[in-house]
Amino acid sequence: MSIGTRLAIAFVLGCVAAFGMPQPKQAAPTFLIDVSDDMKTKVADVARALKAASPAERAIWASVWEKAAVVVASPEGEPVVFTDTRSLRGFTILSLDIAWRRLGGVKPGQYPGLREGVEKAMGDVVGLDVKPVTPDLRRAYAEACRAIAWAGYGNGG
Amino acid sequence: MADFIPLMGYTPDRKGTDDFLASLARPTLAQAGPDLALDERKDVNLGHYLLKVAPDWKRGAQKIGSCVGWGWALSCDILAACDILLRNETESYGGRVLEASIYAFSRVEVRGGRNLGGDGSYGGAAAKAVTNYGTLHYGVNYDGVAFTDNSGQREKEWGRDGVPDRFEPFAAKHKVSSVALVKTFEDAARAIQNGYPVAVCSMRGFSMTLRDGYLTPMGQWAHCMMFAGVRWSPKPALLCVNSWGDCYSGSVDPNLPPQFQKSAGWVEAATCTSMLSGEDSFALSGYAGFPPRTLPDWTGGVL
Repeated sequence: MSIGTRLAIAFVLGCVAAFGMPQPKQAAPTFLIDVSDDMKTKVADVARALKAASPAERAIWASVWEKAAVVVASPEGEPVVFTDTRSLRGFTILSLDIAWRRLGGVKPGQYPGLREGVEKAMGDVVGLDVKPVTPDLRRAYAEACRAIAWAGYGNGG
Repeated sequence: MADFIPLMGYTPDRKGTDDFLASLARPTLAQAGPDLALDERKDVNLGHYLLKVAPDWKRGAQKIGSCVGWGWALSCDILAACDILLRNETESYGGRVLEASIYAFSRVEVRGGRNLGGDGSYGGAAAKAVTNYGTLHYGVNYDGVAFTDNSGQREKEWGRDGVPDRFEPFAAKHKVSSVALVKTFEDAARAIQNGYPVAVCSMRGFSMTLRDGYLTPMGQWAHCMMFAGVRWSPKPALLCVNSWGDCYSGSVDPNLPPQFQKSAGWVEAATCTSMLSGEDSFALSGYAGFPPRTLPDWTGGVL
């Protein structure tokens, strides 16, 4: 994994450290960012899979995807962090592994259909080709992340 | 002064280039790309595309008189990047072209026999090499053999005996589909603005000291380099990339990516036309790249 990817992951972890983990008894907050109707359709399976998730889990889910979007959608002209979609995939997996599985304590397969829903959404929006991370691809990735976060807040299912 | 060895290796062969040109249906850029537009306000550096697909790229240094292999290999690398990023071709970047492959094809296979002469080659031979024989790449596994180092010895041996036959089928998968003779600054600028790099062979030499990123003509170099960029102010010029590593000193162009600041310099338009008037310089188009690779998934079993 490149130094850039490590730094990006460190940023996500730093956000978790700075703002803390969500309180278990809080209701999931309302999600205010606009998500297009098209994107809502693409993440419908994610929302359905998370129907049984607790508010705390939903908040973790939304938080990690929102922050992933922020990291990847950094302004043009900044140094290249993600060179191609392989490094972007590595960042995605490690972010989820740390925030969702290790800190959130959610086991793989605990929410049936969640993996398939995310794979479908990412595949539809970003694709599975190994290719350079262009500004257009960063925008697409961030849009997909925000929509997946939106689905986690209990929307769209 | 930067540490470098000013090796060259351009050995013009007028008849060889003319014979190759005669084999082309549309030999000049004007004939091959009559619709290519020229915008005299648009600055372009195709090197940015190369750095997108190969962020760790750094210009190497030739170790023998193989400049023709080096100028053409970088032209192929940049063409491959432009095919992917500008023309959205469904292929992936497969790494740097092995300079020795173009150099050897141009000296031996193109000419039909072992080459026991000294180092060197010419533009027409390299043009025929990449279009008829193709290119090999660093880091690719060719039935258990991968080329990872910049070897002058390999260039010397292959330049004498040719590319080993067992590698030729691999090279044939990665050809340049067409080349076109570039004769003027405007021709080259037009090609570059449309995403087609130019390999340039000439006798023009330069001072090794940059002045605000510009090269000053001085002396003679029998040398092959390549044009990767065009700018219009303060003086119209092409970005000429050398193959001597970070060889230039003086005041660099800070707007260039660091990898190009000391390995390349801007050449004024009139000098470019003078270099290209030797009629042994070519724009390249249509690189047969590597198949697109795919990710296994996005979540890696975490969910």
